[in-house]
Amino acid sequence: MQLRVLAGDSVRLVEVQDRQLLHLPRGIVGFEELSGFALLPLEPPLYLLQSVEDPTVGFVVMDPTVVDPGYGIEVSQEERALLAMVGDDRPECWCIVTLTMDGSPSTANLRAPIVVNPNSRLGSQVILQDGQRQVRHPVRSMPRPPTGHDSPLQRPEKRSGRNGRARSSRGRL
Amino acid sequence: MLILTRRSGEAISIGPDVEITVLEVSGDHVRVGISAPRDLLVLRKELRLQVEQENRLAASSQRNRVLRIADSLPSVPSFPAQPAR
Repeated sequence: MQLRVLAGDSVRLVEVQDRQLLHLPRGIVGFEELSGFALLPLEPPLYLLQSVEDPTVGFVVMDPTVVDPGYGIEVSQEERALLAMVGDDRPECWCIVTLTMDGSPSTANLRAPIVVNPNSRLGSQVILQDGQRQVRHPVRSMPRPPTGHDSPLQRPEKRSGRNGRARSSRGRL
Repeated sequence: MLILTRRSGEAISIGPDVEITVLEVSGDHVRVGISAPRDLLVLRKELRLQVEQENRLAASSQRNRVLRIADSLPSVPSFPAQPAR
């Protein structure tokens, strides 16, 4: 199917396969009316969780083990039922990345991952009771994109004490 | 806001599918049990607000940046969403 995606100032039509479509019965907190999403690859390791119903709503997401290699969650019985998990089904976790424009590090929400059952393609944003996981976990060292492409994330901060501004600031939108 | 007074063990019914039971009262803490349909996410309010706020920020922050959809996805030519200035 073709999906309308707002990218910058224009709407792009993107072809998506059924296997990229997810159904979130509870939506995402604050966006409960949106239940259909597509997972679209961006520069690795980032993906765009794009609303099917609203082209202006999308979330940059990534595998939380990129910033926290030991990341793992327990899924409750109720969540297993919500995601139609059976037997040995293992869920995938995606955490929402908040991009910043002011030079501060982007952050990943490790407290509220989106948990997906890849077999049923059902998902839900789960809010962990564990207070140790942060809503704003700083994302400091991300792979650099190839030069010439607009990076969606701040470049890694240097330890020299500079304020971490990207070297080529080309008036990002 | 509807205000009710309950003792331990008593419950409140919200619609046909939601029930809140006061389990224990001690000092200035009250333990409540909530039963609700699976598609309703029940959370401590301050946690919901924190996550909601962060989700909204994330959704608007990506909108403001030019994101390149991976070239491996076939796409049709784009068209501007707004009239050219």
